[in-house]
Amino acid sequence: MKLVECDNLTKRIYGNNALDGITFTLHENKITGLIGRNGAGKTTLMKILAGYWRETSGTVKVFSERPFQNLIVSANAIYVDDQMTFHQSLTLGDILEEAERFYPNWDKGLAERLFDYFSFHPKSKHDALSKGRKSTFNMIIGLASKCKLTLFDEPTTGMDASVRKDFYRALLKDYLAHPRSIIISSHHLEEIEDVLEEIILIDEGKVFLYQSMDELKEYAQGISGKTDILKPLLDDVEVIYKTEIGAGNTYAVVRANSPVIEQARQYGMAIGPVAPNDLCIYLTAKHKGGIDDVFK
Amino acid sequence: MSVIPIFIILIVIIGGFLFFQNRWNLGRKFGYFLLGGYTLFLVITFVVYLFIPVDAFLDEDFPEDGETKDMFHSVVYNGVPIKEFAEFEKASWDFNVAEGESIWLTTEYYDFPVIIERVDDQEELKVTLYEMLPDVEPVELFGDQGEDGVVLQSNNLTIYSREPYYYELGQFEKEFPFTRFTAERAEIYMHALDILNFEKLYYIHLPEHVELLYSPDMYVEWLRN
Amino acid sequence: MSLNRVNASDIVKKQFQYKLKAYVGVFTSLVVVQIIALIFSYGGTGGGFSSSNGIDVRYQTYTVDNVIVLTSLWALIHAIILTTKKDWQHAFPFVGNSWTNNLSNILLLLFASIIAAVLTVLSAFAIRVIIFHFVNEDLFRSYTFFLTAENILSGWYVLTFHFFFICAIGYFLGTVSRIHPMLPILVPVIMIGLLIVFEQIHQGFMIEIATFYYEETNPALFFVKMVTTSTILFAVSVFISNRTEVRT
Repeated sequence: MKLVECDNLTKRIYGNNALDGITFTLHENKITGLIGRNGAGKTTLMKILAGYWRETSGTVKVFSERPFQNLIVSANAIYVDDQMTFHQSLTLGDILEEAERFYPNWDKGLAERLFDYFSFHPKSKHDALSKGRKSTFNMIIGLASKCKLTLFDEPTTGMDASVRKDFYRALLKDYLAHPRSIIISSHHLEEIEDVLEEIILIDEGKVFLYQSMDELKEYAQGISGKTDILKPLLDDVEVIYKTEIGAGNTYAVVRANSPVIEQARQYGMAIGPVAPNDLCIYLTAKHKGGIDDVFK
Repeated sequence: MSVIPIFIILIVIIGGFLFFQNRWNLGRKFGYFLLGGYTLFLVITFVVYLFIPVDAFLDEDFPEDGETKDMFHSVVYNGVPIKEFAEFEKASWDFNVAEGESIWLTTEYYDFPVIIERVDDQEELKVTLYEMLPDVEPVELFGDQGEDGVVLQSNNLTIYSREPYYYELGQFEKEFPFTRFTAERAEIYMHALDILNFEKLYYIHLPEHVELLYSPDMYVEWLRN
Repeated sequence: MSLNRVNASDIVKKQFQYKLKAYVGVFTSLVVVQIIALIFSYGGTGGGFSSSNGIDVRYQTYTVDNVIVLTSLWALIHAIILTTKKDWQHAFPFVGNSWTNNLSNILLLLFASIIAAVLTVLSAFAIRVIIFHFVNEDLFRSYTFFLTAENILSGWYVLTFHFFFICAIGYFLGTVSRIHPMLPILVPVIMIGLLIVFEQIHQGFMIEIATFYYEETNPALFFVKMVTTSTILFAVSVFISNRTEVRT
């Protein structure tokens, strides 16, 4: 069953296209990473999928329904981010109780175990939690609600390293026990690449890349060698990224099927895989050479 | 009371309340406690209210239309002898006056109804003060309130009066929304004095052959037998 | 995992229960407002002085007007607060949409109006008992001290719809103000301006409006007027906010 279908989905916010003709289809029961730089449109896309925001044009379907203000989508999808607020009169205990009433698949046992594990106090107030604690608590809600579609928008904001690790472990274990569709957005791909099955790379409101994790790992190869030899080789081919490292050395990233790789190998240059996180940064680097160019 | 200070005080109190509610982290239990406590208080006052005796409160002698205790009216128009009102007699003054004299009647400070009855077999001029006070006690005022008194001096009969009695009363209005769909209207404050059932009058027994003169402004009735 | 089907009335019910819990502050502030109003009422809401020969009377009038006025203000403020962006967001961590959120807000306001009307009517007795037992002042022996069952019923009936009507006005103004960031400033200005213009075009305009609603002596007509107007105001508010996005 198709979980999410977007066709030419566009969202204008204050005259800018936050999403600019996005087209993709997500299938059920996968953990998908939504990767992109700040302002790429990750949050906008997730809010549209969650039914909070209305699309400007194009079509978007979640569970084959238009999500905006849709009750079925609201009941079967949960959107978790660090802006999640609850009424100030409710304690953490109250919030869990209320969530249990609202979400039919609520896993009370899991919620309580996570609540205890992260040593929350049922009487404390959500507003009074620190940023990382808030994210942790929101994560508990996101996991325990066991919605058919769970959207985590930058879920680890403010969490310390050990809690992040715990979170991704919990996510993976819970997913394996109860397979469902989870979309996680992040600009730190290296952090989540172990749990992801596929990624959507978006940039400037467009889907730049939509591939499985395995495909992404074999998408490109990095070559490093002497500048005066490597540079002429790269002239006629598509180069994803190129930079000078040290005196007279160049590092270049090209598609894995590029003929340059064979040539470089013949010159005895070092060829190796590119970490997905680096690749995503290179792919969306606006082809200007990055921050170094500013200081030239 | 003007609306504006109430407005300001209200905003201050609500603002302060909300501020402290967040500050002190007053929980939901406190809210329920407050609502419950206040409701209980109101219910208790309602029960107490039910025990306020209607009879003790609503006077049986409460004057109704056409059934007034008005002394002046009864004596002058209904021919009730003044003796019937002996219980309201407060003071009297006797003066010896010579036959054929003419006396000038004046009042000092305040005017009151005066009833004059001419009597045959009497040599003295007798002034009696009748005073019917409300059942409620007047407020004690500081300072000299003066005395009621009557003085005859060089053929001038002058009635002096004490300061008015001072009452402080409360009343309840039963208007919107309680009487929205009924005919009752509660504008009793317009007739505060009617309800207070107060009367003060002077009765003069005037011997024959004594002439009594007074200004036409005065409220004087002659009793004709 | 199969899709959970939900029905709107079930969600409205759940949101209403959620709001009863979350918005306990609505009732706390109601109590505070009423206590303040009772304290003000202690001094009397009006009075006067009568004098005739031999007797001076200063009288103090006690009413529940203070309680009604302040509770109306409370209703207006809370209805507006419910429509603010912050509170609107609070309603969306859980299942729901604008439609269910609006309906549960309206239910909450109706419930609050009923409670407020009951407490206001009861406060009339509180004032009477306090003045009778604790204020050293003689009372006019007047039938207006006593409230009949009919008075109580009529008071509760009128006040319930009155508060609900005020809530509808507040909810409407709050919702309209959310359309554009400038509107919270403009709406009051426009409202007051319109009232002044109408008053100039047609003298006694505001009094006529007040008379139309509050001088109605037929309970059924009163109900029709109040409920129709409130429904229209709420309907417009719902229409506007259903088009608005939630959660920034």
